Amino acid sequence: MNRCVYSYTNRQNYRNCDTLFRMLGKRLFGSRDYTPKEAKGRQHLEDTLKQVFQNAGFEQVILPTLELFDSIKLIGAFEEESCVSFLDHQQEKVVLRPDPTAAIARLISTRMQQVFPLKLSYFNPVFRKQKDNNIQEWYQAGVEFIGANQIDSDAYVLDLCIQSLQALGLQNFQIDINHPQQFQNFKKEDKQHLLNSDYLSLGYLPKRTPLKDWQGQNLALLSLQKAELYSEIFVNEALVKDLKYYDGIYFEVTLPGFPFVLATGGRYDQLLKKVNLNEDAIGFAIHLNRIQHVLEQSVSNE
Amino acid sequence: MAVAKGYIWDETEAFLKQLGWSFDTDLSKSRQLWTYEKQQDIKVLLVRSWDVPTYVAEGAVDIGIVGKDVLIEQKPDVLELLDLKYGACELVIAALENINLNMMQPYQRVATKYINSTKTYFKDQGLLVQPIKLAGAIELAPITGIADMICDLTATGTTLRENGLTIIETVFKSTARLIANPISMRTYNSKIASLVEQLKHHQV
Repeated sequence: MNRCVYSYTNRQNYRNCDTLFRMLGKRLFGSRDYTPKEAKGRQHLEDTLKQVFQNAGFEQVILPTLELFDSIKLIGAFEEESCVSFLDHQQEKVVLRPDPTAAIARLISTRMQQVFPLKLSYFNPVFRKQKDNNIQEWYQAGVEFIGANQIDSDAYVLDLCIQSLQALGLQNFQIDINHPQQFQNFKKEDKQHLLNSDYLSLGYLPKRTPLKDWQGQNLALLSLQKAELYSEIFVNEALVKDLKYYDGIYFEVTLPGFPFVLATGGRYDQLLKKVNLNEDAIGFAIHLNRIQHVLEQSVSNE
Repeated sequence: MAVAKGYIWDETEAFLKQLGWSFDTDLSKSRQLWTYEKQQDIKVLLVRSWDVPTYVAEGAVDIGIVGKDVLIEQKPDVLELLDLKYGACELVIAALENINLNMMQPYQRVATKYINSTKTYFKDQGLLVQPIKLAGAIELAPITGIADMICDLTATGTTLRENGLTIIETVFKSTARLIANPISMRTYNSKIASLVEQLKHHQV
């Protein structure tokens, strides 16, 4: 999904050089490098977000790239088949961080004074094995808001996500949102059809309603409706893939014309209970590589 | 929108014209590979049926029309929105003579374009075969002796019969499907949903 454009101005030279050097030119499919110009663009995005997060009172933490597989598994936030893993010298299974949640939970429970609420932010790459077995590396910027009153922090974090994307220069993005309670309202067979995206067996297309017109009982969604954060928020029944990890609102951000998700977020209270932290938690992560791609495209289209 | 060339496009064009769609260019008379429908504001691209899921999954187009056979074979990351009911055909196992599959020798060669479907079918039957991938004119394989049987798509069975082949078993039945890119299904939700309604309403 990450469409990087490599333009070698000296491609001809590169073709003519000897085999040894050409071996250096091979690369893993999901990785990329940045020229000074590209790096400056990325740095700018990062600086902007750092400022936004800092103004909102979030403090940055730095997390390790390598994790023991067991700790990822304990948190259970990540499917085994999408982890990039290997055995170290003691035959212990090690993974390249697929997601920062496990590391953050460990950091709080082992090394921090537990004065809540805690506002943490991070800027780091994550590594995933894609369906086609390619390893993909991408750069995430995100926040975690831990130990705050549920209903208020939903709107607060979603609003911060909207502000962050606007600060990066994105407009007209759309936010799809869902809640596990909404999913529980469906019949058992229909749940399975939704999970499989099998809309023919479901018999109809899942509804996607603008939040302001949405009618339902869900307290979290109703309070978001009252907050009136942004016009392009939709309650989408089809948004079910990651609902098993989230126990409150869950959202994904997309932009018309681009076939990928730019940011995801949600509430994951149960995950922290697994490491004996009895606190609510909500956060989001922004996919910086894709944002940069989108911004580069819109500049070149002008 | 991307539509599979050939019989799927022919039947799609006829169906859409019934709904009052009119295309800028008559693609049957021209070599142009795309056309435009003004009222619906939809651009239609004609691509090879095996490429339709790729166009849709990669987001080059938002929706597509393609046979279920291609979807079963490729398992692309797209949403299936509607069974259009036309473009009916079957994936079948055929050979020069009627063989009893349960009595056959292991590692018989099966020529096919549908490698995954062939493997799954024989695996489910508990049979060992050796699939051979061909891109077209599969019917020639048993005649020339590079395979013992074939697994191929047929609508009426005429081509198979004319090449002296007998249908042994049906793997699955297929019809044309409307598919969509999962992200387009969000960003252009209302437009796609109303198109699905329109097509559903006019189905026979």
